[in-house]
Amino acid sequence: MRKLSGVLSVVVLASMFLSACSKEKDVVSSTEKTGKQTVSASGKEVPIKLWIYPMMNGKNGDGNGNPDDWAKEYARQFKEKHPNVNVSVELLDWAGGTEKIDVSIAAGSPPDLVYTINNFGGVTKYGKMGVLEPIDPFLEQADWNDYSEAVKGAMKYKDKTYLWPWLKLVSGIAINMDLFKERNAVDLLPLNRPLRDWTFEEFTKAAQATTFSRSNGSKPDVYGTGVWAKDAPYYMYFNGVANGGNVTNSSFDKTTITDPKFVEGVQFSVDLANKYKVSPPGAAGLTVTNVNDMFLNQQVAMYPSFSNITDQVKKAPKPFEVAFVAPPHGPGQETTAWNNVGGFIAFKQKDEEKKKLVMEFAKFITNTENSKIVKTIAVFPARNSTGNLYGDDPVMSYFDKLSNYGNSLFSRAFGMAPVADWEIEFQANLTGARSVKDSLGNLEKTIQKELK
Amino acid sequence: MRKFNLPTIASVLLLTIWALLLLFPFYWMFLNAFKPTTSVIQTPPDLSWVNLTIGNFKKLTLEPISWAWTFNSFLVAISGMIGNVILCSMAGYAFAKKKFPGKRLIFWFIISIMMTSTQVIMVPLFILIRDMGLLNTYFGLILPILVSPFAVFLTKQFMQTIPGELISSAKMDGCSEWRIFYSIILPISKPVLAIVAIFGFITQWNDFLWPLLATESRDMRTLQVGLASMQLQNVDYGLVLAGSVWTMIPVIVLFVSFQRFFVRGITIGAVKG
Repeated sequence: MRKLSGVLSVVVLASMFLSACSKEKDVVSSTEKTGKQTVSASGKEVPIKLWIYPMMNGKNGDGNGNPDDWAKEYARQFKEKHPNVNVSVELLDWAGGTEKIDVSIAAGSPPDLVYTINNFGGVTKYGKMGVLEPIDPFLEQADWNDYSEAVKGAMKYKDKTYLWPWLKLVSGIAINMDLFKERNAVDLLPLNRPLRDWTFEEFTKAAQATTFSRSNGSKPDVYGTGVWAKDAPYYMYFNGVANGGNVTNSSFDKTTITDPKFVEGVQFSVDLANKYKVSPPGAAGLTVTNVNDMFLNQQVAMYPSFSNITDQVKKAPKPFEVAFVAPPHGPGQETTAWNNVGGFIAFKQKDEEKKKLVMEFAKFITNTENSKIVKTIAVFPARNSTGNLYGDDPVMSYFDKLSNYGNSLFSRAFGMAPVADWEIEFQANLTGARSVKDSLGNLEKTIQKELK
Repeated sequence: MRKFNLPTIASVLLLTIWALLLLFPFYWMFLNAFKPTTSVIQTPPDLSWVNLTIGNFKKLTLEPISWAWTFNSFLVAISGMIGNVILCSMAGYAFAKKKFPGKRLIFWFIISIMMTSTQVIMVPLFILIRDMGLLNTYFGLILPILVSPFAVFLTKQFMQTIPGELISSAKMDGCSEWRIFYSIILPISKPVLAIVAIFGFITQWNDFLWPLLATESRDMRTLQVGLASMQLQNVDYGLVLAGSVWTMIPVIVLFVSFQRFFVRGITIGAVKG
């Protein structure tokens, strides 16, 4: 027991010592990072807390270094201009980041700036809670002129703007060309059309042609496409938009989720799995990562994805040729692409001087020059003034073209209902527990409540 | 010599198959931790012992921050373990052998905490630790885990079975209260204390949510949280599996070393002595 007491004393003392060290170290490191005396108009030091997710490694995003290096580098550069500002960068993780933000809001101490992306529903969720700082007074006309309509759509909740847009991901359909060649089905793809657009019917035919048993068994082991209900069900609901519907009307005051166009589009997603059986079985339990892995493993011939899948394919067990086409659309509809916009939201500020500096820092990260860093993760900067970063790259040129057909209202409005609710309803559709119409009726109530 | 009749052989066979099935995910994890990421996503799974590499572990261990995370995890888990053993055994003893007003009420209050989800208390706990100025410190990580209601319950149940005559005799011999606890109760309670220690270590070692909330800088993260933050948008499965093996090693060592206590721990409190 004496030994135990001794060990405890050592641990407690060590904790106290290390605890003290840690606090000391934080102060030292922030001073070291600054390298200058703090000077400002009001003479006070301004701490800014920036929370980011791991997206790219290294100072320039070149892969050499840590996932928070690039943000720390921007913090350092910003400090050169504003010596009284100390930016601390905290790295969240994709699994628990949202929980951490939610707890910090509930505890009344959220970060000053945090990265978010449309499909997280952050702008809508936190905008509705009233914890975000509107950025309208800090946006100049030149900024507005620099964003495409699709990007602008993602920045707002109701009549206020909250998001400093930074990057833009454009969704398309990734195609395993090797599988299509193996099945002599390349002609079924819309590769020769200027926008590579196609209808639900054409998509289904292509999926049917590439659903087969490679081992000559009675059941397929390769599927034309992938349908999933967990993690990222927004792709599946996107068919509602591609069919001419949407989650809300354009004035964002009424949900249009039970309109026949949207219902039919979502029904198409269900039919791919249950009626046409061109998706791996058990779609209700599948995640986007499962389908992504199956695509990389040549078990799924095509699935909705972003341009950055190309790098993953190069590292696949057996790399294959990839092509991209537009998401399919309903009969008589124009092609619809989904521009997912990522950027920074600022939480409410009490101090006016700090608010200005927080906004200035957000603008600094997302300015024309600095936002070019997102090229390292094969996506587009949100600002048009960054120009053509990808030169003649055929894949990126195509996605750039496709982005003009983007529908950001969908991804903004998707966050009106919790993702878990969307998942539950789509799982119910896939298992036959509920009809699509009934499910959308359930979600309609939630969304309408949110809109009010 | 033991007789091997048909039912015995059948049950042994069935249990062996069941055990192998349960072990298969661990086998797959260990194997693929030593393979390139491309092998992990193959279907059917690549279970061959070829193409092995220590690249994933190299990547993990060459990051100096991984060692800081490992140290933090050990510090937190060991502190939690020791805190649980000492503080909960004291509480357990008081509930088992002492009479004081409101004893039953307080005990049931502690039991009710066991039934409360951790997530429910996260926000008040976060506010408390923040207001104490302990966020992003070792104290902030350790303080909330020093006492566990489950450990109090466990020790109380065990100590109830210790005959009261032992304590009376000690008192008659002039033992002080502290001496009775220190020299009589604790040595007898070694089995339950071992269980409390093991459970305390494993619970804190595997904890994700509190270290995520209570830490801000990368060097203050524990292994579980740190490894999660190494994942970019495209998952590096090889690294994930190497990290999983890395985090499992202390738990496996602990389990193998104290296996007999685990079995005992399952039955403690189940039968009233």
